[in-house]
Amino acid sequence: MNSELPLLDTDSNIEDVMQGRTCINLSLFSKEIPKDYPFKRLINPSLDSSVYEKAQEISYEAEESNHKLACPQFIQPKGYSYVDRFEALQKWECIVLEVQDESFRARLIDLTQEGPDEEAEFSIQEVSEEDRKLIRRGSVFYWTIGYNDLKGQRTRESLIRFRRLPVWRERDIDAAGRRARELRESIHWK
Amino acid sequence: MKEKRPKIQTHNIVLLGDFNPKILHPTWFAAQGLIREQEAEVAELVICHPEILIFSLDWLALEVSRDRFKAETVKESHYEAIRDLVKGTLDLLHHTPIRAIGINKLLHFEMESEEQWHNVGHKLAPKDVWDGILTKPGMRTLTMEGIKQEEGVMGYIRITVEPSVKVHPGVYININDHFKIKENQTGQSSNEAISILENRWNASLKRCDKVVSMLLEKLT
Repeated sequence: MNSELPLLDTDSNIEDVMQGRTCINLSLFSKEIPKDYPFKRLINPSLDSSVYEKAQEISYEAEESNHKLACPQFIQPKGYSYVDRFEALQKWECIVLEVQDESFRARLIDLTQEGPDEEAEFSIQEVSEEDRKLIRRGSVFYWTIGYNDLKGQRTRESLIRFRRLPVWRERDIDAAGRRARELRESIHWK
Repeated sequence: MKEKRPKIQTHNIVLLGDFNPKILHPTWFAAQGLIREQEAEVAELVICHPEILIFSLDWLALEVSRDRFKAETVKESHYEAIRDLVKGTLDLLHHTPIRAIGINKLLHFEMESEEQWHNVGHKLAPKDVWDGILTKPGMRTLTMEGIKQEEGVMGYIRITVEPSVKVHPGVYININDHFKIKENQTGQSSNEAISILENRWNASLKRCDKVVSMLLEKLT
């Protein structure tokens, strides 16, 4: 339900609410709106009937035990919609080979068509701030060039996203690397 | 025939198993390093309940119930990110029993005309069978299933074709590449699911594209 719609007034009725022409106040909601209506707005039954059925069960069980569910917010999820999408023209899986102050070099493996691996240099400025701590030798990132369709506006974009491993796994890898170095240093080569 | 690109394309990975939805909150994913902290802060949390959790980021829609986990994206740029997220989750929750994994694509194609659109239905479901039984019969949905031919893999490939509700005149094709995971001691089924994502995900998506291309070639 659109939060910019007018609030229910004396000339409106439940039919106006159900058709999405107006918002509703809480007291009328709890009296008049059918049990499954909030979940229909949140979960698309045609997409995922098993999730929708589960949500309905929760609603009915709560009603029977006299526990009121918190009133769900009728806000259309932002940023995720079947209209908004990214159409990839070219994709690479890349492995960082070398990191310098302002740039890093990587090997590119073409994911779109078969071909030899290539190398390229990237500016660190091209990487999202939160991903910059992931830039190190051996780390993997995905580079995609394509069209981004957002709210009807198409733009051509270059997108870099680093592969994210669970934090404990990264610590594990670092620990394994340290252990390997210790073992190597402890071997007395003749 | 010119290769047809879908108007809308979605990729999801579905796990069937035993889950605890409430722990799979955006903040949990960020704490584990699987999504950015900033993404968790702006996540749209639709429902957070012991029975069901749903949230979305700009590139991810996650739905988890007690027996089903689904991670989905409409952005081609983030197909690998979806795979990595599911792998990372399985890695962390390695005792979660997993019974099956589905690598799926949902595609909406625009037809060149209403006539071409109707012909798709006529070819898949010839109407003469229904003469005298239904008035103005039309194909609503068709699902075909085929066996997997990969060695050491149990499962099936299921293809569903329907008129699209998002594109008109359009055809919706859903490819479900279903892998059944052998019943095993706890802890090993998630490893098998991770192995499928590591070794078969790429081939599965390529197979999806090939299958759809062959199907459209025959239908249009």
